Amino acid sequence: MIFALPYEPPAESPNAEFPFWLATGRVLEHWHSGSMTQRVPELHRAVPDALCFMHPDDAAALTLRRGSAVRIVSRHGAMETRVETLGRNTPPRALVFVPWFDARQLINKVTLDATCPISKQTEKCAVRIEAA
Amino acid sequence: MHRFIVALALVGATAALAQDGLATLRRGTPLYAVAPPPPIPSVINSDIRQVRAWPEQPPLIPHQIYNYQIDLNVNKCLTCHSRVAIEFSEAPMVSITHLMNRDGQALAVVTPRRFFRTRCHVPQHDGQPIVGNGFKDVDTVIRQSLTSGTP
Repeated sequence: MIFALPYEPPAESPNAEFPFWLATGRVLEHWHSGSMTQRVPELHRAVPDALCFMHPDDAAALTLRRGSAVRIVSRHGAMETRVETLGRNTPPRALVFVPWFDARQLINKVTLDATCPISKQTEKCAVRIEAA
Repeated sequence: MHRFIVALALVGATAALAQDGLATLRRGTPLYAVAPPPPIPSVINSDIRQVRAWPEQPPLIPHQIYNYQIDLNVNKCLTCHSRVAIEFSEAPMVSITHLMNRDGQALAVVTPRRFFRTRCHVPQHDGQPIVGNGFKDVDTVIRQSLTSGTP
């Protein structure tokens, strides 16, 4: 079934100051955050830390490489993590992905308090990436 | 003055909670603080098979799997772990359950349900656990129940 609904612009979009979309989400090993699974040695060692998954060309344009420490800054807050250009997440250019399972690296400090008014999904937010 | 003391006590209580109650996985970093991110640990590439915590645990991958192509055309894992490859690779063959459908019927090739290896199998990174873990495997539980005399 298809519902015809009016277009709703996103709460915020990338611009010159914040050129990247930030999507947050899950990793399979820590599906319901790491509060339980980070205590399991095998699962912790499978995915030890949250990382900023990024297109290799975006990383190169910022003179970053895999493992570089970065600061992810939005209009709402900032956090620090490291760049990952390999691995299972292969985001397109201008989009970065940071999972939210890791209590030591709280990506929710960066995100905005807005949801889609129709589906109630959380909105993506615009960020910039700085070398930390 | 009373108000000041109450406020001070509240601040102290909040700090204490943040230290040992709420954020047990943050290694002591207060919730409002940003700690420098730890370096990305390297993947353990020893090729030494590791113990399984229980019999049905999917075996851990004891080697690097970066850039392994696993899609409709190619399954890189099967270049070593398939039935015919193990003679040359000396790698363990995929379990017989991977060659069965959900009704237990034998198949000639790996079933699509088990095709995407990383859905169950993971490599391990070098590093220490964040917190301790009290898991005991079944052998330990049986041994302890025999020595203590309780079933």
